[in-house]
Amino acid sequence: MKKRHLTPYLLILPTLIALLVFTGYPLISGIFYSFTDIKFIGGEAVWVGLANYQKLFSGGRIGIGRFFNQSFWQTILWTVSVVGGQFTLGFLTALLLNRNFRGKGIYNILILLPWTIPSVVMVLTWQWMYDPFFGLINFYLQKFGLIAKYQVWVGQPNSSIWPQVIVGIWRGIPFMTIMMLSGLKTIPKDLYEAATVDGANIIQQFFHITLPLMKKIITINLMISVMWWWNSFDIQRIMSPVGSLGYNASTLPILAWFESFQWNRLGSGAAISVISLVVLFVLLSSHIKQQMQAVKD
Amino acid sequence: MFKFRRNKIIKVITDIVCYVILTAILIFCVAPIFWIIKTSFETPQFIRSPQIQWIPIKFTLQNYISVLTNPNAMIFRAFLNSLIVALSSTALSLTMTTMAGYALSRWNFKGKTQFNVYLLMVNMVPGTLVLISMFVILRRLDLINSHIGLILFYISTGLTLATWMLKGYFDSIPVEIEEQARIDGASHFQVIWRIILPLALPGIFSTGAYLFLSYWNEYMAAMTILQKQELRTLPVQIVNFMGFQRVEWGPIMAYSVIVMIPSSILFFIAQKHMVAGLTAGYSK
Repeated sequence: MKKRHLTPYLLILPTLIALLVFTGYPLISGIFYSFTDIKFIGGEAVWVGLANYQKLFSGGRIGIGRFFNQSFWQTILWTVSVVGGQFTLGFLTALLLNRNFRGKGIYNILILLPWTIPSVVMVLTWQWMYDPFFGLINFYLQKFGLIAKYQVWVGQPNSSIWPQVIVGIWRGIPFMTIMMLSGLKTIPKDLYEAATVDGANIIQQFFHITLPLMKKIITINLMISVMWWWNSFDIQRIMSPVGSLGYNASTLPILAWFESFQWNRLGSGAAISVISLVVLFVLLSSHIKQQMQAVKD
Repeated sequence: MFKFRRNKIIKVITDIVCYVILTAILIFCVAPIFWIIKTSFETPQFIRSPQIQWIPIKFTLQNYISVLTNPNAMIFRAFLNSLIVALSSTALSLTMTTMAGYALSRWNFKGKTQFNVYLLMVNMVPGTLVLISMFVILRRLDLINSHIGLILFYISTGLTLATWMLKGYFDSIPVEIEEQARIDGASHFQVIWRIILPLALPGIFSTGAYLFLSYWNEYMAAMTILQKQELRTLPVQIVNFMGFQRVEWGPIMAYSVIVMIPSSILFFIAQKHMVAGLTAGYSK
């Protein structure tokens, strides 16, 4: 019996080591770099104290202070709207797919399609659809009278973040749908039958059966999605103009990447990442605490 | 009689509303993919047409031929690279997460909660930060520009959901089966190898499909670690190819379709089990 007690630790060991090496170590070294003036990987690192952080918080109308401030708010806007949109549409789709109707199988498979596409292909496609001259988005918007003439939607320094948000929502619907659908399947059918007998309508059933029973799945799902989309990179990176400074729609991960790898200010880039992580942690910490307690109970 | 008909009318109206909403979402989801496929079969001079049409104006296989024969596309090499990297990463991380998932399912050990919270929290660490230190580690090991370097990085990603999915699948296998086999004289290893793993196979397969999909599609790390052209994976190579052919959407979309085929097929096979077990691991 004593010997068996060691087994679970041995079984989680490989996963734990992989996580420690590739997330624990980066965290510690990233925090260290953020206090140095290191320029590129392998370069000389001289301790500069809080200088990187001071520059970021310096504000101002030009330079990194302004970009940081701008990217910070863009990140919040981006995360809230992308995750909000994904969740609303994904949950709605899951609720509808959980009913019985003809052609359910086809809908089930087709709605999940966007998940199977490499993010690169997806962004290229959307870029092509946003094309200022021959894109189908311009075509349809004009056809339905929503815009007077063709517009440039992405790839300019002053492009807005909303066209990218739509891509983010599109990308996330399949995952949200499949997660929510999987959660809905765990709710026993007889609960609804009993509620129907008692005279509860669909809306009452949703608020008194579905939501309470889905609460935990929804919470974890939203938490993971917020973490992923806060740090999301591919969509913004490929849709951003090449090498542009102070890109209007840039989020913190993009700014950090440009600082670190494009403009060779690795220390400053690391500082951006550290702040980004701290803010995310503060925003989510109360939920994580709840989660820990829920697991213990 | 009247009541019965009224219920039926309500049912029909609800059905129609549901179909309309679902179809709208479906169009939003599928239209871009349909557009990829359509563009890939369109004759180049008609691709940039002011008139939008959902079937090719003039059908052609020219784009596919040019992708498959253009030396800059390097599609066979990139395909092979992607396959090597994605398959080995999947095999390794699937082994790790199967072990961890089994441990989480069968034992109540000290630190289990902390491990779960840690699994959740690793998703917060920004990719750029990971990229920087991973680059440092891999360079010290002389693994930059090597598939092994990329595989080592990949096995640390996607672990959270995979572990929880597998825990869920193991939870659905009654412990009594194991105990009975033990009483019948099977060793612990035999029980796991002969009974538990075969029973969990659909779950392991769909978790593997989920992992494979994320490795097959990954861009940022592959772009950073693999700088030699002959090592590049498909997503990196496709962007690179676009650099050569900035205006040619036809071949790029044909390239995209070829990249999508294996992942879509795998996904459709695994999709059913995925829905069944994705959240089982943390719904209890």
